[in-house]
Amino acid sequence: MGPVILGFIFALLVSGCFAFIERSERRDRIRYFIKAFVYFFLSILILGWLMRLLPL
Amino acid sequence: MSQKPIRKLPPVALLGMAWLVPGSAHLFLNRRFRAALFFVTVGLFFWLSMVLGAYVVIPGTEVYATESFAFFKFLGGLANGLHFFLALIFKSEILNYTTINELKAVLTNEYATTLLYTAGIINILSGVDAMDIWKGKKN
Repeated sequence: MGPVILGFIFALLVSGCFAFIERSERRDRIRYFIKAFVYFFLSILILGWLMRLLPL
Repeated sequence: MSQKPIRKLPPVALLGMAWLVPGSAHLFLNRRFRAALFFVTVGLFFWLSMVLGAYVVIPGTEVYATESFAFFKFLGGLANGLHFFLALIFKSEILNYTTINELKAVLTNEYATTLLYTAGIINILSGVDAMDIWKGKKN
């Protein structure tokens, strides 16, 4: 399993759980889920890309 | 307005249930979708982490003595409830790794460790969420 797919599954499920824990109303929950998912997944992509530049 | 829970249990029993089987407390409180989401998330993350090369830290073992933040790592694993105990029983039968150094050398070990402790945190948060529903603070 590639790291991007793993990151996608991670972002999807964690955002879903956080949306249910943090928000009570259905509409707020959907908005929170989309926002959290985009932030998580973009962070994974950007930080992953930046880490490629590190001499590890 | 918050919805009243259909059935009630002592809070300690509800928390114990939520910890032992992820999502079971929500199922008891008639929140089926939420129960399924927590059950799938914690289970998938935990077993994916095991397959990708994570290891659990247990007091009294050689790993516990040499590992940094060993107690917190033990708590992080224990937070997964029943999955933690099942991993202790079945992991050596599922995987071919024999030593802890072999596991640490696996390329995906860092991903696996992240998934393992995230699963534990989500399981604890699901217990807190179940308590809030039980108290009537949330619907």
